[in-house]
Amino acid sequence: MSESPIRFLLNGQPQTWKGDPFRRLLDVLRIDLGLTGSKEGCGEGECGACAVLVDGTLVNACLLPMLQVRDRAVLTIEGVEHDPLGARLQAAMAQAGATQCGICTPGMVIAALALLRANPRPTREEVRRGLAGNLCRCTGYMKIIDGVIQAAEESA
Amino acid sequence: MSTPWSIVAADTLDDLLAVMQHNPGCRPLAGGTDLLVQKQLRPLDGEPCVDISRIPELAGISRTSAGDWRIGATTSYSQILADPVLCETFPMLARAAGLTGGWAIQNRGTLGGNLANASPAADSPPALMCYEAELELVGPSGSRQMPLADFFLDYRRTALRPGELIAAILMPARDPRVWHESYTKVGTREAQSIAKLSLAIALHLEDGIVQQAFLAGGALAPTCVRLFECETLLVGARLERALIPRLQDSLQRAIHPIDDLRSNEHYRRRVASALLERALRTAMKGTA
Repeated sequence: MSESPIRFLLNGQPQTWKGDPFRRLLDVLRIDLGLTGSKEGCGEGECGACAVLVDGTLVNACLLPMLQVRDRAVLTIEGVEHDPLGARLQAAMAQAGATQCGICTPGMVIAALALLRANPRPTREEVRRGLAGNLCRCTGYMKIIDGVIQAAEESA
Repeated sequence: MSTPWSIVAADTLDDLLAVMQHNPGCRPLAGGTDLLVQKQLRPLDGEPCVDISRIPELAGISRTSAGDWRIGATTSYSQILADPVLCETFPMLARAAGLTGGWAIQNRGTLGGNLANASPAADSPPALMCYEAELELVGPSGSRQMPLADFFLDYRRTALRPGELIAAILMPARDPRVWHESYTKVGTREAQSIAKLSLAIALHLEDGIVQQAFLAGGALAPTCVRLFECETLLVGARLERALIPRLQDSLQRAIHPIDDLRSNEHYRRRVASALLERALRTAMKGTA
């Protein structure tokens, strides 16, 4: 299998990557590109710790082979601060105390950003549903939801 | 001896058929929410795969002039949920789509993948069976159509021939307003859980008499199971409480639940009967 270069956008910057086309995006981000913000919690798409946006769509990077990333625009947690809504979300979640160990946080922020872009004034129930694919073992979720609601209110 | 996983891209249906002809054991990959998990669990036991996610002929939701529906195999659950007419016409399919995994999984998982993976606990088959879904299959010798009811042969075994894949899911036009429907999935939690069992029921009633009935269950047998005997008992009958124990007996005869990591036979049998009763009582209230 010849390894043609895979071109994609990463946090707004063009990237060219060569390697096994079946390599997971998560591994390319963390190991090849040193972007360790996306976490591996399960490797099976169950926990959401590896969540990124691909062409604005929430996906688990552990289930995405690089071949399918060709010509797409990827946003990782490292790129979120450059997005105005993303930056507000990060500040609001920090203020709300939404982080304990932090391992779920990048995925939560990415999922919350996707949610607020799709639904700028979600109810608490809608936030729960939007974050249902992101597991947290520490916080009990309340302050995460508070942070997302706070960011939504500030962005109204 | 370890075999690496490999993947190639196919951007057109012709490209794909050529790949599948050359290598009939090639696994089509769209959303990867089942296949990539298998790769993760068996990294040394690789299979050749082909990316079908960008093939136009396998994508999209469309209607025929007769109003029948064609859902491309690579349609994701999110795409299903984003189509209001589709969701209104097939509410149990919409419900199944919304109960699959979480948002990130729904964005990637596809209807065709759910069927081809053929887990007995899959979320979409019980709903699709009640909607008389047919599958459009394509392979090196052309295309063919078959009822979904004939597609699942045994545990994780489908009627797909070597080199063949699901191109689309077809469903006849229907008027949802004359149907009482319910789809219930029992899982560990509301999201991100595989069904312990599921039950889909669609009843067309007129003046309290059942005109048509479709019932199907998931995770209750080696494959999704249509409850044909229940359907026969229901059609032409007046829907009343006295009918329920007979239907529950029929259900118990039709299912073969097992003990596994998610649940056990006893629980599955008890809850299946309870779900059936609940669905029938709700339908009866609707006609009172």
